[in-house]
Amino acid sequence: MASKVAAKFVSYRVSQVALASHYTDKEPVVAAGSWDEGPSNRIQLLGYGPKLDAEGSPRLLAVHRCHGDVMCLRFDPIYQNLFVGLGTGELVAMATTAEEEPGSNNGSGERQRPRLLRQLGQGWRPSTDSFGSGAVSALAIRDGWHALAGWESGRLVCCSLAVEVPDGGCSDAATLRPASGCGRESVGLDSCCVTGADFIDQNAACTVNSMGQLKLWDLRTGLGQYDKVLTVAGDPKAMHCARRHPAQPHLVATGASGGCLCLWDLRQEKFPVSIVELDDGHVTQVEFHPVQGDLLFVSTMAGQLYAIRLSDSGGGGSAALTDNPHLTAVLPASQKLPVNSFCLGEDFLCAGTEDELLYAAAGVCL
Amino acid sequence: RLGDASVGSSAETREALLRCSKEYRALMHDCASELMDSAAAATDEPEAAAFLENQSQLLAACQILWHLVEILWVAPRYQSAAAAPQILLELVDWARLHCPQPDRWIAELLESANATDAPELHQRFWDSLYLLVLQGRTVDARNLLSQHSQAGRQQQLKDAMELLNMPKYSFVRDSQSVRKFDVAHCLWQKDVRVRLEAGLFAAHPQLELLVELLAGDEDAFARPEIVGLCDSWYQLLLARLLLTNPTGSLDCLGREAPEAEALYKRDRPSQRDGDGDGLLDGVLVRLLFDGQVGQFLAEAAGCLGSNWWFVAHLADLLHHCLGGEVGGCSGGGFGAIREHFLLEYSHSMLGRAALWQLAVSYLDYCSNYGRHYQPSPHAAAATPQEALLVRVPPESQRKAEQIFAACHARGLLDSANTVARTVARRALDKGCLGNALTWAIRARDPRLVAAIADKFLLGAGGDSAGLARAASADALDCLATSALLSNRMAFLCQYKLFHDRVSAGQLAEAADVAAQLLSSRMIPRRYWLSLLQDCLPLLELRHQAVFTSAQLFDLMHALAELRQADCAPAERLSVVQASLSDALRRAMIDENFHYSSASSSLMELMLACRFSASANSRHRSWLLRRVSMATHSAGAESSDWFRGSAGASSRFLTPFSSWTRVWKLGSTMYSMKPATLYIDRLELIIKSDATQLNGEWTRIKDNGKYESRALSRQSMLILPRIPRNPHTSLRASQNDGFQVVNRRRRDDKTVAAGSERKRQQARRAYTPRWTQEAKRRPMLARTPKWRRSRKFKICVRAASGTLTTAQMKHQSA
Repeated sequence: MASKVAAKFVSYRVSQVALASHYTDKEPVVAAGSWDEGPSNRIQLLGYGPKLDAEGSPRLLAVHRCHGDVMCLRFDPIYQNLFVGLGTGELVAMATTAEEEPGSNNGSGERQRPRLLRQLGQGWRPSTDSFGSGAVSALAIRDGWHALAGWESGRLVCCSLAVEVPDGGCSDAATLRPASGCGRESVGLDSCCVTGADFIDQNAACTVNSMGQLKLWDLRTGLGQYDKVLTVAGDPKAMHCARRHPAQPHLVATGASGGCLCLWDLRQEKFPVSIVELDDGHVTQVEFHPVQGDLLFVSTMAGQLYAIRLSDSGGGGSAALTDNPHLTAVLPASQKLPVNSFCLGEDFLCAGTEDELLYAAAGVCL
Repeated sequence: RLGDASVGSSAETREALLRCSKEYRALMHDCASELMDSAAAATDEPEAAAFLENQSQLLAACQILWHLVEILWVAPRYQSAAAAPQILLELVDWARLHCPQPDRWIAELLESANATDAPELHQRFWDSLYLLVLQGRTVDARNLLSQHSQAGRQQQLKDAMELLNMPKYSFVRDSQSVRKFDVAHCLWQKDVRVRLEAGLFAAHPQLELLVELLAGDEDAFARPEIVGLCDSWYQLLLARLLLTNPTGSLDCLGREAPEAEALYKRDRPSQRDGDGDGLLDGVLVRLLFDGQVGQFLAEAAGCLGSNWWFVAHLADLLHHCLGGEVGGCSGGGFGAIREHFLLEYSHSMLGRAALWQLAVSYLDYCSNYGRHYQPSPHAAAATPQEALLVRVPPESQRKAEQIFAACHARGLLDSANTVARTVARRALDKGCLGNALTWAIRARDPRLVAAIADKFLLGAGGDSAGLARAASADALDCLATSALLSNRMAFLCQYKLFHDRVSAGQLAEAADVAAQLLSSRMIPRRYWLSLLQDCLPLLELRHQAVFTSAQLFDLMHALAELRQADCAPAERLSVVQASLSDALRRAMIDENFHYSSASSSLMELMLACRFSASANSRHRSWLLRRVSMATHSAGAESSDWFRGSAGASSRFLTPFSSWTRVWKLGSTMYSMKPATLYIDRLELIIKSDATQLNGEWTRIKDNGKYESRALSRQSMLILPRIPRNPHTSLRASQNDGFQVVNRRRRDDKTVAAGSERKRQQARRAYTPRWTQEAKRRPMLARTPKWRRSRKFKICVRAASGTLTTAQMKHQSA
């Protein structure tokens, strides 16, 4: 599958990884966050060399200490800000480039390579209620400024990063707050833990929860009431992640307990287009290849990271999974503990595991 | 990494294990280097730097010991007798790798030689030469000696350089090669001794000492300047063995170790056991040389304190290399030691919360004491693995998922349920009912699911709106069979289904759900009225009969129980009752209600009469007529209908003593087709029930006259007074019935006129006709024929208690 796979022992359980952006495939920059480390939790910014040079060992560019577990990490693709969801329930935005104004160009039209981690203003959390919101459990980013975040309590918030640059020009005044342009209600409540979220388009988003429901939200009407709810027939299986197709936004892939991978066509009613059971472990993350849309990557709690080729179902250009898809393992077979997260570029893949390893793979296109 | 890989000594396995061992050593080396770098970087934190440096040194020492074990026990050639010289060479190399002084000295010496042109004058020149010889690096020694300023001129130096061509052993899997090397070595050493004894080097004491070392002279090795050069006793031991007995078996290591140790410590009186640099002070190495691996691991565990990783991994490696047959241990003894270390290591990891997964995965390989060990065979105690998994705190949903998955992956379903229960309870305490429900379902815990359903209902209060609000939680949407874990949860789900169907316009299905909910009694009684009130809009739909009569009967039963229990406001009950009775009338008309021998339906019809008694007199009359029809047909077809009906409908009969009396009466008189009689009597009973009358009753005398007397419990069968003009009430019933029908026809024009006509015709079949005979003898016409029969009279007497059963049979015959 991958032409080269390198592993780096990082001495912390990698909870989340995020790739700075696709253009840096030649020299990718990855943010990796730890969890369950108590006060030693951290976010590291790691830079890989071109084609995973010599040992494939990344260089440490920056470190930021966190108060809680790093539950979600997302780079926004435009401004290179890093959005972090913490186990304390706090949502934090961080600048990764050196400009005074986050995301500005350096004059040559080329964006700077992320090389630092600086928190922008204060973290944000939903107003406290009787039972607290729990950890941030889902996070999606849209057009650089908007973030859709879900909490364990089921709370759902559409945030925007508001930068208030004072006269002095210091960008640290940036704050996160519920988005004003995100429909009437920017705060909603799901019935249980929101485990995954993604934007479908400018006006729609989808979330999955631990009850096994895929919910669609119309952001124009706000998060007060979901637009549609889709479920898998039978007893509920908790879903853990959701990702939409890069080119066909009506296609959404979700991963659930019991290694259950579902492909949904949102144009159809109620039930998924395809359901495949990969292995016994829960699906921890699912991602479409950013360029080859028929290539799906799935990581599981059994320590596997598979690449799956989708087949064309023939109807309306929609893709589907065959009953017994060919699973191509990306990581070595010795990996047994869960792959918690992975990020995907055009030709680069980075995966963080429970046994404190950070895998990097080049040449991931089949 | 080794896991449950095959244990054995095949060449492939041993090669693979050796590779693993080398990789592990490389990791230790990397870690030690990184720690040292970190220590160097932490200049502003001296304590942290010191700690890191200590850890680095510890890792380095561990790596040295590991390397030694690898040479002695892991390398595949261990079992070959021809391997001993090779192992000795490797041991000498091992000692050299971890004792780098000569290289440093040579570098210093060569630098200074540029300035002086006489390196032999450097204080470390001869020391370096001796050390090189002791380490078996005779080629390096010869090169160094060639740097001597007189090397080309003095014959002694030339001879010494010639003698430094010591034979080298190269390993071949053949004992022949050992003998050849032995011969070569003996010849070479004999040559050395000859030249030494000839006094060739007497004029040059430093050179003479060097040659004495080459000759394997024991006294030379005991010289203080030689012993002082060695960092450790085992370096001295290995050098002696290399130069005196290079082909000896490995047993020599253990045999000669004490002597070398004593020699080494002779010049270092302050250094005793345990006073050295910890791991490498000699105790552990001596145990290894003695072949006591088990003892070595135990000592190492003691020296390393909480660093169980070293002994655990090393024991595991040795277990895979050698099986149970390891020095000092035999049979399964070593397996037990290995497992002990793995257990200790996994327990030591519990100190750091982040390592619970690793700890559990180590226990996977402790088959005796980790996965299946029961501390007490009689008590259902948890295995260490179960105990560990249950103790990991599930702070977040994600971590809980991982713990739950880890339990499931190992087949520990009880532990998985315990974890799920814990998470569910925590979520319940926080008020996150959706999460609590998710985990309670995973725990398959009916009581917890019921508790969560109670929480849902508690938030709902007792009113209909609250209940609807509770059921609107979409967490209830996809429970499927999981809802069956608890009656209350099933009720909530069904209640939600009812509302969903009403919202979707599927009214008949919604009615079905409501009737099922009430008839199955899964719904708590305090919510019955709420549900009935929710049904009111459906009941009052005049253009559409949403409920069937059977469903309405179910609703009536519930309402009757509510009224009996007196747990709801009477006015609200009355509203529901009125709607119910109206809906029942319309449903019966729609269904062309006809009774055969469906006894339970008959009783339900009677119940409906009771309802209508207090609701609407016209409905009551209409229903009474239906009872009459049903009773008549049932009596004609089945003799057991009353008994059956009592069984089927006992649940609603029980509270009503009057109905019990009816049943008793019927059971005696079943053969008499007493339809009309019943109608009259039912009406009275209903009235008495409604008005709580305990008034005058009549008793039929033997002479056929009626006697009024007070109601007494002793009278077995008490009949109410038969009206003198029963036709009046019957006619009134008929008229009422027609009026109802007509009114309904006005209400709903869509009903087919044909079907209505049929119903009216059917009704007329039971109506006394006003024929000419009837006009002449009105009383005769008004009394049905069967009522005038002898059988009926006998039955009436029997019922009134004036005729025994035997007499009745006799008279009937």
